[in-house]
Amino acid sequence: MATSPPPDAPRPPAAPRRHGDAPDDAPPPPKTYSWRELLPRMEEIRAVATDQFIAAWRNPRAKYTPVFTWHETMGYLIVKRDPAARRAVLSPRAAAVAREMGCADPSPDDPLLSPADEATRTRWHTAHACFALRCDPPVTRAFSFARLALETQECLAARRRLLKARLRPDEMLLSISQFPLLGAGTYVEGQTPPGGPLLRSQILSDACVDPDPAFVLEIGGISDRRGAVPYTGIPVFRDTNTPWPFVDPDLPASSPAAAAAPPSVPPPVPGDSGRDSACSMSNGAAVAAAAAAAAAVATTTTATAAAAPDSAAKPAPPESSKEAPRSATSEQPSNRNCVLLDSPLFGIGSGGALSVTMCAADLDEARLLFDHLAPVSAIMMALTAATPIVKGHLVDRDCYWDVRCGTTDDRTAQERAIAPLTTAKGHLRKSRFDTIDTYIGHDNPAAGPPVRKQYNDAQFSYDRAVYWKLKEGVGVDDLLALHIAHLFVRDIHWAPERMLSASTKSSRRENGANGASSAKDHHHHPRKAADNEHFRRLLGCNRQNVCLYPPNTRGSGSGWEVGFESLEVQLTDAENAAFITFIVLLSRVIISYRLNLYLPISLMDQNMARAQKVNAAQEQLFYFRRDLFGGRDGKSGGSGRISRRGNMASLRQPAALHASIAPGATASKHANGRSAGQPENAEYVELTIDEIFNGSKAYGVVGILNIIYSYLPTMRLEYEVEQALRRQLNLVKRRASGKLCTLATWMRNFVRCHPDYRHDSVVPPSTNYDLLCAMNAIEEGTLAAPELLG
Amino acid sequence: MTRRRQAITEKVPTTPRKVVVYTDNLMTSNSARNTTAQESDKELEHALSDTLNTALGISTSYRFDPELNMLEILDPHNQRNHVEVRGITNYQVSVKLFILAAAADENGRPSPLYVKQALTCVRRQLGHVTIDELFVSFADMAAAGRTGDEGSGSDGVNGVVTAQKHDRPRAVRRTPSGQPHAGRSAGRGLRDGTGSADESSGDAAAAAAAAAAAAAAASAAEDPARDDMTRYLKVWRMLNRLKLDGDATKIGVCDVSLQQLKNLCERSKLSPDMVQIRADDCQLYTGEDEPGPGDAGSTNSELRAYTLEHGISVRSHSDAPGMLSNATFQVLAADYRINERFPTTEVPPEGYRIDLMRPRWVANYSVALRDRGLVANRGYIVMASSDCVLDPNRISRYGHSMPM
Repeated sequence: MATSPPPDAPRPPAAPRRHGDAPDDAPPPPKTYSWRELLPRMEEIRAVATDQFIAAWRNPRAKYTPVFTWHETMGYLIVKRDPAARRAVLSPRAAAVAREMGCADPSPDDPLLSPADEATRTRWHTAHACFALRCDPPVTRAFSFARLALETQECLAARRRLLKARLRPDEMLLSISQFPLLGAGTYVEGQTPPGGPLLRSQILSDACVDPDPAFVLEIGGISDRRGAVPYTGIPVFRDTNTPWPFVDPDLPASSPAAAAAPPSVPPPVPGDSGRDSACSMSNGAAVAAAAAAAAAVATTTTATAAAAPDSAAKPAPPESSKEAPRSATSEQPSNRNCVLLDSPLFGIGSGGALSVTMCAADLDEARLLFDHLAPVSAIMMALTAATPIVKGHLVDRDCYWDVRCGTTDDRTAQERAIAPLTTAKGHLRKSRFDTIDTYIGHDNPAAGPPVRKQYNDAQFSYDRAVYWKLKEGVGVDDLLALHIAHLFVRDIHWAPERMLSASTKSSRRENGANGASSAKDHHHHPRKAADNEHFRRLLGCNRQNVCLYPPNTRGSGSGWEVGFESLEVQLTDAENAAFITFIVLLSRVIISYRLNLYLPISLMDQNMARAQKVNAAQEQLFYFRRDLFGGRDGKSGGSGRISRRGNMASLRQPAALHASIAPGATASKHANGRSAGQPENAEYVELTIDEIFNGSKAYGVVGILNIIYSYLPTMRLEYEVEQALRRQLNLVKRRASGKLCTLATWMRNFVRCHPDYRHDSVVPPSTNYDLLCAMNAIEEGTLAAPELLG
Repeated sequence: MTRRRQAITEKVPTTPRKVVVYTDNLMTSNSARNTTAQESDKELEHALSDTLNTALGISTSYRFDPELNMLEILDPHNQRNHVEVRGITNYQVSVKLFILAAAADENGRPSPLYVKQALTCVRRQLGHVTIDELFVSFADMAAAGRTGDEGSGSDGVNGVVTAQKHDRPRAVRRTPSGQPHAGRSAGRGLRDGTGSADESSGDAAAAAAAAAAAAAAASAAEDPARDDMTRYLKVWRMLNRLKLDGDATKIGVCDVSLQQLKNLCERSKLSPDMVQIRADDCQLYTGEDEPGPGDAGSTNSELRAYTLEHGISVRSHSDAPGMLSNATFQVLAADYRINERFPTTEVPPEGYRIDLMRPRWVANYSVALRDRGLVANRGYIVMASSDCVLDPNRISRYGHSMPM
């Protein structure tokens, strides 16, 4: 998911300042430091951030936020179509449009705005790419069922109308995760040859990036910190005419896997003919660049030494996709049969996004939501899959997640365990944009099921100084301290001057980040600790599938927030509203019923990998808990609590059902294949998405949607409200049951049925044009897509 | 013969045995996992059996409540007055009171005392709260509320009828038909005028329940009988009194048709604050944009136009048409041997015996934090009582011994 906000930027609620203002500001622009300039002072920043976390942790602990608020962040792309040439390219005007729309003056905290009012006050943000923009509502919305059911869609629609009014007649506004042809042929208006100084990419043109220093520095910082371009391979979809083994034509032949590929196989020339030859990199140029890169001695560099400017051009062993075990470094990662991406811009800020942030009453509730929403993220991702095309190729994935994680991976060679560990803080298995590594549990046993040791089965490194300071110095409990210390392992990639002015200007290098001295600094600058910019920036470096954000202090304030980040943005506002509604209701149900959705981290990661497979929503099995209800202590686990009748009923039924579906061809294969390795009372079972959502009697699974359906009447809702909610949930239900397909499936089918597509996995510009126009028509309602929307 | 009649009238048979069962908080109990949408009757059944199992089988969690003169069975996990709101006051209590078929007297009129009783029980559970939303649902209307398919809709009601016949086969066999009893007790009911359930004669109540059920089954055909809300006026007035007394903030009635609502308003001169109608899934799922293109939708839209005009809010529910059928309850009672464990100390009058207990009302309460969209507490309270019924064996023995 291209998460909307520039990941290192402060979270929206805490950001009174907009990036967009920076270039237009007064003559002396605020000095911004790059990652390399920051490096000596990273520990200072970390220490300040730690203090800010402690302040936040201490402060709202006693506070209880009585009103539940939430907000969503959505992103859009602006696409320019050229009907004569049947070509669609990105329009770099999005950033300008966003600045033009501006940020209405910090509105008075009125959480009860009407949809139209709210839309006019939307906070617009530029993104890393100049063709994308994102927005969030001016205030976090006060929750009410009526507003959730009846106004969410209207809010989104009103906002889209505002944006559309600013478009030129030949432009389209699309909410999609990524432009299909980004990086292939001509994809952006005013495209310059790749390899520019801003992006330093061999694929992407500098015309894509918004030249705001914050964005440029972050993108550069990723490459700098990694010591190489973060190559990412996404397996290509093998169609009937796809040359096999497939070699990405854009990348240097000297990269290890390309060298390993049979040299007799030439890069698929037919694919090139369909593109604009002026801008696609010619084969010769690629070879030349590769040769130059190969000339540079590939030494194993330490983190600091790797920060030489020319090292960015060095080809590094590309990261394998998540299919391969990530920790396995012994085997050479292979980019064979993969589409290669070489710029962080593919992963951040170049596409639409959808994330839902919910404000919890207190830290305990936030931790509860954090833990229990995490296992759902993979399933929601499969259900919202919308990215079957990457860089002009149909890929063997439906989701954006791997692209996002891989291209923004800034781990150094040491952290990736391909160089001896000298200066880094430990090996890191995951990119900074990836799934969570630890559940954080909660203190209140009455609030929900306790986290057990076996759920946290992932190994991860963390910043020991931060950990001990939190745990021993302040008394933060173990799991939360681990979580925060793990987040603080990462570096921020840029910082404005003011973030550094907080700490002392002395050149004292604090390598150990000794807490005492920095705490002293912090006491000298209490004001700086009050706003938690450092903390938020470090949080922003870790965009995981669920995120825990500190309370924002703006306006009436709020509690700790939990962000759900794995949704892919949908085409229409109706779909987006439906998924937002689902997530918000799910969070209510988790708290109300004290649901237990814990899944070991390793299984959650497996789910994440499966969710990205083609048509995962219908074809993949996901690990999920069989029994979602925690019950109370001493009541679960057959302590005689379940009545005799209940037992008899539950014993009798599955057997009968199994017998009845046995003759069925696919069903029985399904069932037998799955139940083979699983004991009858397994805690986790592999289920289809249909079973997870709609329940399955054979597996004794209730189904998330059924729980929500039984929760809704309890609220005694107005007839219209309940009906609207159910209609929205019904979309999710039909997606889950396979009656409706995901956008990814729809797009893939569209491309494969298109006359210009030659079944070689390459999406020609004309197909892309028709695809985007059809998607725009669906969004505007002029084209019916019953298989997508019902 | 005259003596026998005197024997009947001199000692008024009351409901000698009352049991009230409080289930656990369904949000956290194990019975939550049996919950599925559209099956609130099953949910109640599970919760009830769960509670009876724990309260009677595993522990002994019951006591006699002299104040209410009833036996109280409390789920041991149910923490009384446990409104889990952590010092927050903006919670909302809503109660839906299902007046079951057995609560109706011989004229099909449920007693208003049941409402009072339910309120007392809810307060025993939740503390002295004001009920923010109080709904009342009458069994036959709930059953008839499901329009369209007659067969499945009246299942619950049919269940009641058959169970009653099954319970007392001898009574049915010995007496030429059910009619004489019913007719006579109906006459007595007329004489008594304001016959509350506590003084309704046992046999009459049974017969009346059957009659009410039969009426419900037949009501689909004949409109006037169904639309006449006179039989519920007393209950409705009682609800209004609760509202006036400040015990309930808003009151509502469930599953009424437009005619019934109009009838109720004009007869009682009191219009409800809320009307709750069933949100059928089929209706939701077929109608994409406009809810309900079908028949149900059109009647609903008429009803909604009327309510809009009169400022009545329309709520939706998805409760089962028959909440707790007598048959279900009897099976549970037999399983946990309720009738045997708690033998009544009351002596039935001559010629009568104390019948099995029948469920009279079910209250479904929930405590919600509307602002946060959370449900803190939710559960059922079930009240069952038994009547004195004419015992044909003893009558005959009595009659036999008369000459001596």
